[in-house]
Amino acid sequence: MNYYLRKTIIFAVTLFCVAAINFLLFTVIPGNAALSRLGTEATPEKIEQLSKSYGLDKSIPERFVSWLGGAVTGDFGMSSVYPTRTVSELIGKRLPVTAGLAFISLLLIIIISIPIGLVGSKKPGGIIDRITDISALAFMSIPSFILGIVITVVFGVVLRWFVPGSYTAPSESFFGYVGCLIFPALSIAIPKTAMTVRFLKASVRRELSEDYVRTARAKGNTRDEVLSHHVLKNSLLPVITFIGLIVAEVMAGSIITEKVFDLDGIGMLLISSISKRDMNVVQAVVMYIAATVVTVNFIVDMIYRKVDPRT
Amino acid sequence: MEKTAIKYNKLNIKLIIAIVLLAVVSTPVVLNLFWQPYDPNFMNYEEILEAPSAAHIFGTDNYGRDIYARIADGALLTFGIAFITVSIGAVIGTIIGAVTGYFGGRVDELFMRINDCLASFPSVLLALVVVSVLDLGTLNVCIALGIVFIPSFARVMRAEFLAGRERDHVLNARLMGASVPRILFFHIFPGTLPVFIPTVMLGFNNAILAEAGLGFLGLGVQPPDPSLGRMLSESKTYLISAPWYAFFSCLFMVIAIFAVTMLAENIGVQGINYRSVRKRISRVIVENLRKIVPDPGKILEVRDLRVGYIEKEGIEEVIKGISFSLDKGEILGIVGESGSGKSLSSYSIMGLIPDKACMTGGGVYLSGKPLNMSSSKANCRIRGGRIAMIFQEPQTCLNPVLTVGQQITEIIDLHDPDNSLRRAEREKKKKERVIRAMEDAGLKDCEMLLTKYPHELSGGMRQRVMIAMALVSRAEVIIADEPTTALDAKVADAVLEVFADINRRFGTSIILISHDLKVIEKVCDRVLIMQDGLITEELTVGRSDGFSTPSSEYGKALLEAAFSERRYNEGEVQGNLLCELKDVSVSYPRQAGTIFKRGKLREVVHNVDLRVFEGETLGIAGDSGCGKSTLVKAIAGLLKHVTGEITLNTQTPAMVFQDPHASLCPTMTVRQILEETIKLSGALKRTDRPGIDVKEEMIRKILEDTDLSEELLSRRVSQLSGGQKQRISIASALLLNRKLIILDEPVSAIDVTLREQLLELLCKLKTKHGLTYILISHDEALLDRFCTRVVRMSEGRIIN
Repeated sequence: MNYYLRKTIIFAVTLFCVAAINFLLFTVIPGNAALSRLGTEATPEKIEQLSKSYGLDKSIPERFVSWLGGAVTGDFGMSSVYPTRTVSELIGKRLPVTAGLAFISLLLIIIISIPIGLVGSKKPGGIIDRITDISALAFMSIPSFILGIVITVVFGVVLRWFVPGSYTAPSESFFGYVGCLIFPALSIAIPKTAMTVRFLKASVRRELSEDYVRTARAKGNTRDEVLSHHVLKNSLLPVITFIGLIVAEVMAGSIITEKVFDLDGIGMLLISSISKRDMNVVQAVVMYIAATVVTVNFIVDMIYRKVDPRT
Repeated sequence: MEKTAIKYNKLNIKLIIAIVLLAVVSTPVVLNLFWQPYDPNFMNYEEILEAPSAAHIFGTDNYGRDIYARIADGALLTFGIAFITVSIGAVIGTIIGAVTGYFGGRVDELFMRINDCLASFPSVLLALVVVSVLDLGTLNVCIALGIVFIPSFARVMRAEFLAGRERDHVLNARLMGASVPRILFFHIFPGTLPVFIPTVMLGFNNAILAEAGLGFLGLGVQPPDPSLGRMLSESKTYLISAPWYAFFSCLFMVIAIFAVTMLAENIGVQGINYRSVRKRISRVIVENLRKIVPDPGKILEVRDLRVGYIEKEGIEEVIKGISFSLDKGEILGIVGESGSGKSLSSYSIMGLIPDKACMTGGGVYLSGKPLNMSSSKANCRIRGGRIAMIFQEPQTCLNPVLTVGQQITEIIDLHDPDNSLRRAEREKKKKERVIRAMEDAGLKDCEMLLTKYPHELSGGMRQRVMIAMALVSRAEVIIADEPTTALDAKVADAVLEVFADINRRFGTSIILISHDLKVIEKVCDRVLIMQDGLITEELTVGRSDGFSTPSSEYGKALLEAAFSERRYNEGEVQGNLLCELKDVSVSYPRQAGTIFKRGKLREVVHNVDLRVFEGETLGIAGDSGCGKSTLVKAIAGLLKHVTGEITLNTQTPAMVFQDPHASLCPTMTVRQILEETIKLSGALKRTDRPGIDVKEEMIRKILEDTDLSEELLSRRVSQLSGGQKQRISIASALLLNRKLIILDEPVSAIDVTLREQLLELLCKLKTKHGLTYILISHDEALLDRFCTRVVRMSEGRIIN
């Protein structure tokens, strides 16, 4: 239990540091959308008034505390571009798109990569081994937005299996929701799947050179039995951690994919907010994504601990 | 060495493909520096979106610009950005990694926490934010991406430096007094290159991808300058009307990334397809096997067995045709130096030849039936069923994620699954069998052990679990490969006793492989001496009168070395106190701490008092893991967590390590190693003659002292034999001109026949230079012969 307690404390500390880094990053940025929107009408009084309404007159630690306090309750203040909307509102509306995209991609990565990786490892130096190696390498080399474009053209324009840019909310139709996200998710998943396949194969290869594999063969297991009874569990352990690391990349991938497929998720919100310098929103989106990554890795750590008897 | 005449492809085709592709991609970029067919930014509104033609080989874009010219120019920019980015990441990341990894402690913990936090921001996201902070522009893109790449480099390099600082040659450099930057970048960094170079290349790829991603989002390089990322995002609009625009820019980038990844993975990798070579050779062997007629009376028979490693130059035979047989109920010993092929021959009998080796001739027969001729299930089941094997390393040869019970029960499931009974009854019966086997192997509390994992057991217990696995299937033959080498002397004796007991009770035939004739003498009836892949001699072992008289020179030398009575420690020593330890305890960090809390320590040496007098040879005896190496490293000042008082009435001692290969810097020549030592010893400052002569003279003298020839000076460490390397280590220790020299198992890794010479040399040097030695060894007989005083250590304490 001690371990879990310690991990939880580290988790909290990491989250706090992430928040601090995030806050500092945006505090040092010169310029504020609200202030610059005043343009030529900027009089010292107006600037001061506006600064006060955004809390810019307080010291940095004070602002951090109040920002953090808000962040914990999900209140990131108001958007400086749309003064009538709260940041949480803007994000909340778009969250299902990005969350769905990331979740489906991750699921695709896991279901596709593990069987391929294992089948590819069965005969080192064999034909399947080489084919999976080369094709994984090729798919890794293609940027996900190119895959996205190709998928749009092939499945959207030519085959008409989905309508690019359309989105169905999960409350309307769950299958419609999954259906409109599965192709974008595929464009995120394919390069990461290729990476996971290669990682898994490397992991199996490493395990195969371990001494216990020789013991297992000496006991009378056939090569296939050694793989399924002995190597499988050992080689999947590091994959758990690897998938945790991939989560960050999947989140990043969704930013770009949303733009390719014209999906109005928090990635799109981030891009448009950056160009409009709506820093409250940018800060909140970055915090959301980073916090998700930290949380997922925390969960992955816990799972690892449960599965590996050595820890 | 003999080579078998079989041809196979040795070139790494992947490497060649990678280089060709890289050449294809870089040609236009290099050419672009000298000659451009069109100005990449020249717009021609009469030639908008033209298909590829002779005038525009890749066609034109939406402004009528030549796509080839733009790709060549854009690629230069993209590669340039990637290069600068990776340089920033690699240089800063390596420095951070080097410092944190080498020094460790709180700074390290702090850095790693920050690193963890930064890793929580996806790289594109971080780059986006940094770009938005810094405003757009090419240079800012570089800086943004560079910063993003620092954490991953820092993490990789930290791990490398952390491992590097514990290597023997690095410890040696520290003892010589080399400065920290010199140690970091001269001694440790070259060793990290096999990891560093691929990391840089993969970083380069990620940078290209990241630039493309930023360009696609409109946040990268700004128009009108082309970059691959920008072009790809512009081409998206014209995907249907002008597919060549997207196709060529995409193709160019994909090929570049593909080629670099392939290069990164295949640098220094052999291109041999071991699987196909093995298949082809085994066909030849099967043909030849028909001629052999085995003797069905022998339980195990090996006939003209040949095994070779598949190397770049051809197949290098390391077992060059050995024949022997094993009678029922016999214990046969095989003895030989490391590298004589004794382990490999045992693997060949079991059909467990490593993937990079193959049988090149001969056969193995069990009661007259050939073994290992196919990988069919029935053939696999002979292993573990009729022949069982016990390995050298009990630490690693059990599966770490299965319980002891699961691993022993597996044998029953594989070899006689009794399906006639009901499930519950079957399980009960299996458990009884497992427990009986464990008891026969000398284990206690078996019921409780069943649910334990291997890491919860001691080395001796694990080795007994291995024996239990051999017993549970009632194997007719047990092959034990150095079963006691990794165990404490006391436990080793008990394990040997188990073998003798099994042999008596069940009539099991046993092959016992060892480098130690004393182990063989205790249990074997007959012993084969292996040398250089051949059986050179067979001796009988009598229970009372020991080995029969060998006829070969090698056999004599081996026996003489193992039972040598020669003493090196005549005469009394009366010297001053050189070094005194009072109540010294040494700990290692057990787990990483956090910023707030120090990591937990595990004490491995407890409250040791010790005195070393001038002119003596102090022996420290003890089993592996008893803390003797740790203690001397503490005396040498190489460890951090040391409490108590260590008084040295002389300079820091010099050290000679067990593995001469690891203790010499692999990237230097012998001359460089000796010169560095002379420089660091400060001997040059003490003379007023011109440096170069003195240096040459010192080198010549030291080579003479250590019986080495001057030809060796230009060689690298990998080109020396084990004995030569150890002499260089000793030479280097002598050059430092220290009074006290610590010898950490100096002859354990050396061939038995060379040991006496080396001991003689050490003895001679001691008298000549008036040295004091501290000698560590697990071999008490050796200590008795060589030392003037011996102390014993056990579990971190000195016991007499």
